[in-house]
Amino acid sequence: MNWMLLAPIILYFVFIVGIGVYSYRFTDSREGFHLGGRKMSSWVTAISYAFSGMSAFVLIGFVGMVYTMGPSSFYTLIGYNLGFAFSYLFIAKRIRNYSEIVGAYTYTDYFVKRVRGNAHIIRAISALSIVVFMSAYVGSQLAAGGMTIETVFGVSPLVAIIIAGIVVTFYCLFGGFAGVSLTDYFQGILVVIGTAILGIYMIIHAGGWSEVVAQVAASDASLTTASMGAGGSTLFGMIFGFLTLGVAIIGRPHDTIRFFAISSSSEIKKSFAITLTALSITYWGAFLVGYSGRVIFPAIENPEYIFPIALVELTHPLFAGFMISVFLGLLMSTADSQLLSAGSTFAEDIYKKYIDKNASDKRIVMVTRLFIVVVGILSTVVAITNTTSIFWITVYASAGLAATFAPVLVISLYWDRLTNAGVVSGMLSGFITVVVWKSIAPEISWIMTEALPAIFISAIVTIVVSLLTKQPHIERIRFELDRAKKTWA
Amino acid sequence: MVLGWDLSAWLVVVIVPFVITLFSILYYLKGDKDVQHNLTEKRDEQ
Repeated sequence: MNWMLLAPIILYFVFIVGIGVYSYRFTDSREGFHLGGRKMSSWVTAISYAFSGMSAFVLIGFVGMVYTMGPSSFYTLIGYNLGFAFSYLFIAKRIRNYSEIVGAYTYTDYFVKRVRGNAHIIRAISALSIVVFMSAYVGSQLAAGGMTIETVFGVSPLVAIIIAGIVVTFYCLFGGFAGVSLTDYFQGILVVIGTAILGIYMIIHAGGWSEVVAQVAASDASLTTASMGAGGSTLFGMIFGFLTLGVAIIGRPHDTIRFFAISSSSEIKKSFAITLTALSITYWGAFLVGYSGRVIFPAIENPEYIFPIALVELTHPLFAGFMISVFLGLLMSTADSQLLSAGSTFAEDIYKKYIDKNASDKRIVMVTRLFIVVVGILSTVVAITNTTSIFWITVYASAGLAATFAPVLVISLYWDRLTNAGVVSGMLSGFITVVVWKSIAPEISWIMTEALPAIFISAIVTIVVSLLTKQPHIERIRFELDRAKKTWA
Repeated sequence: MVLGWDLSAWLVVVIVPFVITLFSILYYLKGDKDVQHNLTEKRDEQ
């Protein structure tokens, strides 16, 4: 065991648990626990939204893609950036305002209060989607963390997964939303800086840009273009497939909830600029890592692990240990947001509504914490027993969440005719299409993942069913929509 | 070819992501013309 490598990781985990304990002060009320009292700054919102949304994909999956595909890998990130831009331009301000107007603390709560219909089915579908997809999602993040530790230290992934599961559950348990957002913020900043430094360092280490390009071109000339060695309709299909991956980040509960919590809607534009700037710097840094990694490690077995391997092989153990802990933190920043989302959903939407209607705020916070522990344990079990590709579980879970929520969310923020039946049928059709598409059309899912067709079908169903049913509170909803579209200090 | 890459590579890796990021910064710098106050208080009055 390399203790110089391990020491920064232990210190780092102690630090993020400390943030969780510090954030305990924000958790004395439901709004405090679930949304940090709606006091998050534009910086915290921007960075935590970016990195709970991107997860470790940018440092694992993307770096691996750069290694094998070169510049073409960037189509995926352009798709993601368009997804982030759409969320900021068309969702963020309105959901921030509307969630406060109706006093919603959770995603499900927002939908129920927005349409003012029979809440039972909305709660059931959204709670089911959140708990099922989140458990799988958290499990995949913990499994990726375990594999990384195994790659770097050669220790049992089982031990690594259990440690990661305990740490994530612990600080989520104490700090609530504020703890999760603050840790995401610190981790995000470190990822931006660390990835840029490592990328530039590796290019220099490999002999400079011209040398790297010459060697990459010698190994495969197609890696100096973005045409993927294809042309015409094939190229168009591939570009379309990569760009549409970004659709799956729109409307997912665990990152969209950040917009509920920003201190005011007048901070949204600033947050938008910070999110995209931070992500772009990280993308370029990660690109340099993967591209130069092809020259420095030409015969690597799994290109997805270039980032941790490059740290261990090329940099000082203290820096490597520190950056690996940030890397693991990135995995956990997604996992903790999802744990909190699942815990909040259960406590607010199931326990408070069906089990103990008169539960006090303190009791609700306690139940949320208990359920976070339950989902934390479930996810750790999923991670330990997981045998399929982590990347594809992530894509699938992400598509499931986006298809259930994105279409009804966007429509709810713009259209006064939306009804309870429209929301229920829209959520259900999105959920079902994701499951069905994957099983009946696996051969085309690499061109078009399940998210896009599911979102399209869900949107159509939501609109048609709403037109066929009546919204009895339309005047009140028009008034609320009018307020939600304005910018409030 | 510029620095060993063709135009498509520069476009996808550098220019398009840069333009999207620049748009977000300019959008922020443009600011909000009309900012309201007291979202919750006004709701309560209703």
